[in-house]
Amino acid sequence: MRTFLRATIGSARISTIIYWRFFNWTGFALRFLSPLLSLSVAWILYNVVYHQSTSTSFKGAANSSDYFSFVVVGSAFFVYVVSTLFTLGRVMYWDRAQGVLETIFLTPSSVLGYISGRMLSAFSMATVDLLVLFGIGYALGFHVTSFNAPVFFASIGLMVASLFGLGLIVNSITLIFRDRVNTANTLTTLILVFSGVVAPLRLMPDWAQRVGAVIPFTYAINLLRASLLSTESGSVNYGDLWYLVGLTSVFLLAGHALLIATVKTVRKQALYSHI
Amino acid sequence: MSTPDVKTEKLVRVYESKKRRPIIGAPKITLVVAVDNLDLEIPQGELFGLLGPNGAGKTTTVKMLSTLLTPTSGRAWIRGLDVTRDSQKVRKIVNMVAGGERMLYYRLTGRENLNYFAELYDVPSSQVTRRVNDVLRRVGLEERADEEVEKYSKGMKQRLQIARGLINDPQVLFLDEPTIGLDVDIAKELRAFIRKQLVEEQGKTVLLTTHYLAEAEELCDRAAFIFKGKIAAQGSPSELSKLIVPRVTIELTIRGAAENEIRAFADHLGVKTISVESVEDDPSHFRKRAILDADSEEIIPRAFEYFHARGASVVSAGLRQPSLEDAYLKLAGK
Amino acid sequence: MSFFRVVKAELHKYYVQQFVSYRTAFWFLVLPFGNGLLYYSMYLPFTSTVVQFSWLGHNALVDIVGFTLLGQLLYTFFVGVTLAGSAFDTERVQGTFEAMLLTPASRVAILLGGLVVATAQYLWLIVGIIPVFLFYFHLGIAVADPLALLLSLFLTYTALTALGLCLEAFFIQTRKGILLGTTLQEPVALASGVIVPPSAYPTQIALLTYLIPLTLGLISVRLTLLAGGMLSEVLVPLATLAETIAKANGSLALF
Repeated sequence: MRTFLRATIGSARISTIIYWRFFNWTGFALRFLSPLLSLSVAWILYNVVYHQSTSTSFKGAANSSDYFSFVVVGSAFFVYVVSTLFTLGRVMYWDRAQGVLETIFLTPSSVLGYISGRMLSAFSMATVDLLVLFGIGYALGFHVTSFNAPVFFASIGLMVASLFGLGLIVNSITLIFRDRVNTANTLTTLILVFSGVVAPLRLMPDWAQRVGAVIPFTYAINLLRASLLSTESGSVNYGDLWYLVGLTSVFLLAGHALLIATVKTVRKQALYSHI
Repeated sequence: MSTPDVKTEKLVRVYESKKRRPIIGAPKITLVVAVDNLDLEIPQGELFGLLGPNGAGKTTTVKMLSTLLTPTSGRAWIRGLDVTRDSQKVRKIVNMVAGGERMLYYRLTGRENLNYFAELYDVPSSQVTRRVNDVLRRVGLEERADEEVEKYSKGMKQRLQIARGLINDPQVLFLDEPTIGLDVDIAKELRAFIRKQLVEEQGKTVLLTTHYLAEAEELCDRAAFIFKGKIAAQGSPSELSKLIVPRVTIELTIRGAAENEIRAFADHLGVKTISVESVEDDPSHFRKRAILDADSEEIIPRAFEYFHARGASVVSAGLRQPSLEDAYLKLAGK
Repeated sequence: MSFFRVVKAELHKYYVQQFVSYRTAFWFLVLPFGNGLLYYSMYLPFTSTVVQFSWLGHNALVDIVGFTLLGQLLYTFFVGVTLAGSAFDTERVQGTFEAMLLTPASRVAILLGGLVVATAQYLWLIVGIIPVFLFYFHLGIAVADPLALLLSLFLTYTALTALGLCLEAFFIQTRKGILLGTTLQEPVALASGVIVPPSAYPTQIALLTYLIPLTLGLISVRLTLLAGGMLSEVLVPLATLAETIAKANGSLALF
């Protein structure tokens, strides 16, 4: 446990340091371009193009007519998806490119600890992004109408755990298949489209809803919205919570198994060399 | 007899080499045997050299011993610990330093890199600062420790690599071409450091791979030639030289003898003449320099007698013992 | 050295490095398709299935599907041309940029090679996406003036290619090509009407957005393909696009 924690904290520290030294404030600002695009489009559509006239089906699906707040919550928490997939999802790939992967594998430390540290770093940076986006959203008219603390914190915890599992899976794919950006980029886009980040999944075609049903983030975002934007009591769908628990377990187990297999494959096939 | 620090038994490593495939079709796979039934033993406190051309299997051997690579078959032990079954324990007592500029985080400072690896090696928290300062001092990087590695020169990066290689105070250290690309003076300092501090003072066991045969001659207690994954010969550098090139090269400068007379002398003794040429700074071309390939230095006094009897004289005689380079070239078929 | 030979070599280099497996080809299709669906889904919460946009007194009601699809297609091409320029950053890091400049190959051919690659990706996208939107989403097409449509498509493509050449020439001068290329994407997506019509903005801002070739291209193609627009209605944006092409060629002296 001690070696695991030391590896985790050490990895988190250097990951954050490297990120800031590479990107600094410019990179920090650029991280917001994509979510700001979603927020801007949502605001313009809601307030200017359609004059706050949302459809009945949207109101039924979202338990609210406030489309802008709906998108703010979705986009703000989506930063965890982006942060995880682009940090954790490519950690071994980039360390291999720098030639450091060999050095990590040379040590007796826990590989899981090394990866967990990167997740911790990604989570911390995403949390800062979340707060900034909530601030911007608030300035533009975002309203929190309720706060169900147990559901909120449980959802965040499960969301992060499921993303960790997904990140482990993507990390393995990225490393083994030498895939620099495609997997992370595409998964991020697919989660953005099919999890109901910018529109309730119920309004999408049936096949899209089936895709969304296997993504843990779909349930996490439903629960987070229910905990922040409900206008009536009893609007939390506890079925979503159970689905989230189940899917999180599946992704965590799969991710962990794949990590072990990946480490073995790296040692067996000498996948240390620069791409 | 104590357990050797490093031991291998029929160690084999086979790589699959895939040819890039077109959009349709299966890739072509070729099997490359990088290490072929390698048997090696290195006792504690020895500096052992592994010499061979590119692609001979040196780095692959080192990576298997340091647990970075899984052997295809065969076994290896570090201080009695199996590198496959006890890999975690092996990693605690070994470290590896490779040549080149990689294996470091460029955006971190030297100190930050070392602190990080100290964490990964589980160096006791109370000792991390002292250990990091100590290794930085030993490699002469104290003053630049807080600058980002991307600003370091090549030599400094290599020294930081060495520092990283010492951070866990390993009992067995693998140095994979550590002086490659370094300036002559830096490389010389590094060699002295390896020999004096690591091996003689601290008693570490070091396995060194190198292209530079002079380096191996200078440093190694014993060495082995490896070609195409197999050990061709092993022993001390002088044993290796004599084993493979059991002859000496004699240089004689003779005054008053013609070339054909010198060649006749060599034929008379059954000695091969490598070359006979006039000495450059002799305008009369009266002095000749002969290089002979003999099996012992005994022909030198015989040369004195022979040429003196014929009215000539041997002005100087030199003896060159076979070097590792001679041995290497002979083994490599050149 | 043959100009086209250099362009072909660039294309082959890209193919070998990037487009080497079914997986990569699949990702290149899925990503823009996903983005297209995303923008389409942002309209679903609202009451109407059409969106209104205006251009110099012309108003058009266009189906959301067509509006967002065309936005996504042309935007993807725009992203491709900006990334073609920032690809030189990668060449620089690898050390191959110097090696390229050492050769006698035409610099314009090298730049154009990158853009041909963007076009190739774009064509692949069209092959993949359009059938889905035509047959599944029942994309409504209303073409009243085929010449206007062809001119719109041609000039939009050429203007974006010319813009891409200029951006490449500019990015080469900096070491921040990737950063700049990435930074441009979202603001341009917002401003040029990829997702929301620029006529939704206040007039002064809308006028500024018309400086972006992508905005004019989207207006022309949407009007002529989806709203039965005639040549007279799109003459002004087409003329502006032609002017952009001319200016861009002049700016290549920068390189």
